[in-house]
Amino acid sequence: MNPEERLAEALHAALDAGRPSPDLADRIVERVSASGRRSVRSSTRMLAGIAALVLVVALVPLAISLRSNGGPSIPAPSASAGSMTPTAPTGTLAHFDRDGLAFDYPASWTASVSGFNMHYITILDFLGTGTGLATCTAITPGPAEPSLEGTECGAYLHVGSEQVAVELSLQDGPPRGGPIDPTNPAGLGSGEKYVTVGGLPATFQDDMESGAGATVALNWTLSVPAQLNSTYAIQAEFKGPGAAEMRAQVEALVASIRYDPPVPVLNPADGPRFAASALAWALSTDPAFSCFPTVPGATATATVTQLPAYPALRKPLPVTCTTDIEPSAIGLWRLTLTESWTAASDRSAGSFTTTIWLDSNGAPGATVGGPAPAGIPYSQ
Amino acid sequence: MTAVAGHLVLAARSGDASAFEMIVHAETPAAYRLALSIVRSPAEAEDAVQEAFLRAWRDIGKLREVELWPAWFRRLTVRSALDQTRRRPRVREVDLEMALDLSGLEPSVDTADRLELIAAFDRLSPEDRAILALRFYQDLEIPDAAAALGIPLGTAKSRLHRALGRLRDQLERQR
Repeated sequence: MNPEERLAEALHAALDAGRPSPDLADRIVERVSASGRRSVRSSTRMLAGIAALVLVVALVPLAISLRSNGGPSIPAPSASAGSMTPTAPTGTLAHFDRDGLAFDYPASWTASVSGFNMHYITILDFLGTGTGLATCTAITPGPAEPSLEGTECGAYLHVGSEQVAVELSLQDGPPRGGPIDPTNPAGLGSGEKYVTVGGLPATFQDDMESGAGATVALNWTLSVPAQLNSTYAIQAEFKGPGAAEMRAQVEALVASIRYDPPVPVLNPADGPRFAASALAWALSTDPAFSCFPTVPGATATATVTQLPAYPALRKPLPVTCTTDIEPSAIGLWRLTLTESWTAASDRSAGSFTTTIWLDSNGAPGATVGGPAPAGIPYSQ
Repeated sequence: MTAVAGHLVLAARSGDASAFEMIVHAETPAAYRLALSIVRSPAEAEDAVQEAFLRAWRDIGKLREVELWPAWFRRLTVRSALDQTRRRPRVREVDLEMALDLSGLEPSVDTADRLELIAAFDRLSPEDRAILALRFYQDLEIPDAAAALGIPLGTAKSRLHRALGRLRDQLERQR
């Protein structure tokens, strides 16, 4: 055995048995969750954290095309662009009908079209009596973060006392985990719950900062029908003694939302064909899909060494595999692939479901799967 | 790194936190062992892995091809591990716990020989340990090891040659 082989064997002997703390992955997930995600979007409450960064990087406010609802365009002059001045007394309603959504809002609010595109996120409109701003900031590498460079874009709402601001945006990509699915308990973020807005599946988060005069933030995210990767987001912020009234105004706006464009009607007879083609696609990305029957409603048994999207199991697992497909009310097909296993001396009974969402033409575009790894027997 | 399915990386790249969570659970053990080979301290290896995943989550949008995930994440892990070693004092102790793991091993190389090799390996610089671990523990070809370290191929070859030489020197000193 040459020295390199001896070293390789010694390293394997010393390191292969190395195991991190059992909770390391959970701690990492916790830290990742707490870290948020760069370059997506921010609320005004992130501004304090960003402020220091803004001191050392070039701030590049991009012009926001703003105009009154139905009026001429007004270029945004500065970071205060989008300031909304009440134009009518409260009590009467104005009607909004644009970008696929229609709703009513207090005529005392100003509506400003933004159209600011932040790579997959387009700020559609700001409404209310407060201030809305969409801007991009150039990030340059520094000693602490040599890999950090690019552009950070964000949309911000700012409300003074007795002010309300609403931001309407559209996220239209990249591929994500499918539409909002109220049957998926893992699809909710912290503090979110499933709701229905204008007949569309949606999530809602009610977030209030603590302390007197706190800003209240309400967030809705709505699936866009017939779109695998698109959601509308409605973010509202308000504060002041009149918060209850402003909340009622915002909630009334959301309750009046209707989605205008026609939603494709799916023909159930297409289901088996779409299921077969989607399974073929899935199999091309991961051999772990091989156990599923191509005919919906059929059942197959197999012994697998890997579950979709997971590392190899420590030992083979006998499973029963089923395939089902159904049309959804929002013009998408839902292909449900389930592997289930019985209890044995070294495992509990359980199942693993992967959902593949297909567009109205049967093209697969989003895969959601799994229970937590702890629920999978023989996992590494 | 493990064989994480492409669509999981694709979903994580699009901001799907649950997909990234699955990747974290799948990749953590292997990433930990790679980091441990460089930092030689379990606590620092865990810190390095955490840092690597935080960087991955922050920058995964820049990953153009999902097939590049293994190499890309390996590079993040190596870099985080090397960063860990730079944050600590240069003096370190031989990790006795690690040496104790060598008991009860297959007999093709005797335990004393392994202990001697690992003790010598421990005394190398983190950069030397990284190139040796990537080549002889991760079993990477030199171009892939170079990519993981973010250095040119020629530099990787010479660093590997010198690291092996320093390992031999350490072994000589121990005898």
